[in-house]
Amino acid sequence: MEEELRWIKEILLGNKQAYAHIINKYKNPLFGTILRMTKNPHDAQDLVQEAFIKVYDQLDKYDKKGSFSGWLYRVAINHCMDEFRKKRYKMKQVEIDEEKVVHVNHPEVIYLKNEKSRQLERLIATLPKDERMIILLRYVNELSYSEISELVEVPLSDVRNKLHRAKKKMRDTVKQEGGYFYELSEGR
Amino acid sequence: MNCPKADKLSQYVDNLLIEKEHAEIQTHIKSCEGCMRVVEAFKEEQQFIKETLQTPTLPDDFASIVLEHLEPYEQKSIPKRSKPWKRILLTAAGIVLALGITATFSPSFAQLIGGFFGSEQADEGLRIAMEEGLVERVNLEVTDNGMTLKVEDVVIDSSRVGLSFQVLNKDGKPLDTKLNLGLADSENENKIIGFDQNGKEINRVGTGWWEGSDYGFAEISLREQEAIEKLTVKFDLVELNGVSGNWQLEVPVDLKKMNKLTTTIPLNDDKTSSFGVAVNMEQVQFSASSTELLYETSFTKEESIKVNEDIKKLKKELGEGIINDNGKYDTSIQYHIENEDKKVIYYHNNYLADEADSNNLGMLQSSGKGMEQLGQVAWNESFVPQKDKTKLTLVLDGVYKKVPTDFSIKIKPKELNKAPVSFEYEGNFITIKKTKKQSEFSLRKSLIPVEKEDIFKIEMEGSRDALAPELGEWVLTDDKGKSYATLLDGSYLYKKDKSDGYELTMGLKSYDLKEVPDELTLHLISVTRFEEVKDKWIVPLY
Repeated sequence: MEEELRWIKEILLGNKQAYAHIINKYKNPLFGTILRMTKNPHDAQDLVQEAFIKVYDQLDKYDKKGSFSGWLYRVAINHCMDEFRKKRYKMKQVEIDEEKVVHVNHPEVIYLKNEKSRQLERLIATLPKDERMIILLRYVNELSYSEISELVEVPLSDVRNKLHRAKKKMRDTVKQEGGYFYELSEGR
Repeated sequence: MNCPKADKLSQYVDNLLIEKEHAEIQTHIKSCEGCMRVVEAFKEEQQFIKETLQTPTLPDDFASIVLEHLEPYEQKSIPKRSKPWKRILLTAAGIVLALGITATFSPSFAQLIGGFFGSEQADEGLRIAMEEGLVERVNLEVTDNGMTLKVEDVVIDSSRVGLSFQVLNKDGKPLDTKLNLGLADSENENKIIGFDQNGKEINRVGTGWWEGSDYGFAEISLREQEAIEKLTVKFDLVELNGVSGNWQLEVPVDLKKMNKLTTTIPLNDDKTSSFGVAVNMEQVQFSASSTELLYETSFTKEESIKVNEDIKKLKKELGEGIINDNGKYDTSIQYHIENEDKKVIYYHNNYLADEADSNNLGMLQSSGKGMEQLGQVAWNESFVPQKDKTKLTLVLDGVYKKVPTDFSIKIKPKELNKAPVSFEYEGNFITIKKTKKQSEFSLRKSLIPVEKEDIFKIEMEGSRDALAPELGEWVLTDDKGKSYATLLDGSYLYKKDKSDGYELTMGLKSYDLKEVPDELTLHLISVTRFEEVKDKWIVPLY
C-alpha cells in the first residue's frame, strides 16, 4: 500500500512512467475477471486497456480512504461492465459454448490444458453473472466482502449468500457430472 | 460438539460465519480429524480456484501500450521560490485573489515562533506584520467525521486578515489542506466568508495551498471596505480532504488597533492616457503588512469605439454567443515605483520578463475586477511594505490592451502531419503542427455512469519577437461556417531565445467539434498589445 501511494504521488507529479508499476500489478487479475465476464479475450483486453486509462485519469480523485486495490477495481470493473452493457458486447447468460471458453484462442492467453481447470472454467461460465462476478472478485481480485459489496452495489449479507450459493451450485453440478469436485464433496 | 455439516465447513473456510460459530468450528476441527480433512480439502479447492482463475495473463508490453495513450499529469505544486507572476483578470461573477509568493527569507522572530507565519510559505508582508506583533494565536477547531479543521494563527492588518489552518485526522496527523472553495453563494461547497460588525458580507477570499505542507492559508481582503472594526471569518466547509461532513468555525478578529496604524493617501483621480489606454489613480494605503495601490484602467473613448466596432464585426462573422466580450478584451499597465534615491523598489507586469527575471518585483498580490464598461478594470495591487520611511513615486512604463483582431488562417487537419501550416502575425512566427482527437473521461458522482468526451486538439509552436503582440483566444469554423469555441490547452509557453524574442509552444482544444472536417479556419479573436510610454508619467505617492 505504501509503495502504491508512492507511485501515485510520482504519477501526480508528472511521472507517467510510474503508472507502469500499477498496471503490471493489477493487469492480470483485472483481465482474469473481465475475461470471464465478457467471455471474449479480445474484448476483455480492450476493455482492460480502456479501464487503465480511466483509472489514470481518475487517479487524482483517489481519496486514500479505502485500499487502493479496492478503489482501482471499483473504477476499472465498473467501467468495463458499463461499457460492456452499453453497447459493443452481447453477454450470453447461461448457455455456454465450451469451445469458446476453453480454447481461449488468443496468443496472450495461456491455453488451459488441465482437465480440472477446464471444468472449473466451464462451471464459472455457467453461473449467473452476479454470482460469477462475486466469485471472481473474491478469488481473482482478492477483495474483501465489504469491498465487493461496495463495488457491485449489493448488501454485504447478499454478497456472502451469493458466494456460498455459487460454490454450492458448482459442487452440485460436479456431483452429477462426476469430476474433480466430486472427490471433494464425497462422503458428506 | 457434533460434527458440523460440510456446508458449514465450507462457510468456515470462506470466512462467512459469525465470530462465535467460527470460533466453535476452529476449536472443533483441532480435535476432529474428519472435519479437519474436509476443511483442508475446501482450502485446496479455494487455492485451486484462485490459481486457475488468475492464470490467463496479458502480454508483457501491455503497460507500455496503455502508457502511449496517457498524458503526464501537470505539476501541481506551487513553487515556493519566485515565479513569474501571472495577472488574473476577474469578472464580476466571482472574486479570487491571487497570492504572490515572495522569494526572500531571512531568519527572524517569526521563525522562532513557528507555525505557518514563521515558515517560508508566508509572504514577506505577513512576516513583517508578524514581527510588528500583529499576530494572534487563536487555536480554534471543529471536528466532524474524524477530521478536524484547526485555525492556528491570525495575522491582522487593515488591508487583509490572514489565517493559517490545518486539516488533521483523528490521530492529529496533518493532512493536505487544499480547500476547493466554491463561490460565496453556492450550496454544498466549501466557503469562507467574512462579516463586518454590521453583518455585512465580505467575500473577497483567497487561499494558499502548498503541496506537502502541514499548513494552509486563507486571506480575507479588506480592500474597498469602509471602517471595519470587527470582522468575523466564518468557515463553512462540507468537504475536507475527500471526507464529507460539516465544519463550521467562526474566528473573531478585532481591527481597531490596526486601523490606527494605517495611512491612506488619496491620489485624486490623477489621469493620463496613452496608446488608447486611460489610467486613473485612486489611492495608496500604507499599512504594516502591505503597501497597496488602487487604480483603474480603461480604453480611451476613441479606442473604445474602435474595439466595439471590431467586436461587432467578429460577432457578425462568428456568432454572438461565441464572442463573449466579458473579460476577453481589457486593459492594464506596466509601472515601477521608486524611492527618493531613484532606486526601483517595485515593478509590475514587465512585458519583457522571462522565467529568470521575475516580472513583479516586491509584489504580494494583484487583482483586477472587470467593470461595467468594456475593457475597464479596477486594479488592486499590494507590495511588501518598506521598513524605512521614504517618499515613493510611481512611474508609468507602458500600457497593455487586449483587443480584437480579424486574423484567420485555414488548415486541412488531415494533411497537417505531412504538410504543417506556418503563418506570421505581426512578429509572431507560428507553425501549426498537428491536430488530434483525444478522449477524456468524466466521471459523474455515482460510480457507474461514465462519460467519454472527445476533445479536438491543435498543436502549434514558433517564436515571438520581443515587442510583438501576444496571441490570445481562438475560434474555429468548419467548412459549413459553424463556429466552435476553443480553450487554451495547457498554456502558451514562453522561453526567452537568443535574440531577445521568445520561443513558444501552445495548444488549443475544443470540446464541441465532434467531426473533424476536411478544412478548418482558425480565427484569432484577441491579442494583447504592449506599448512603451515614452514621456514618463509620474505620480507622487505621498
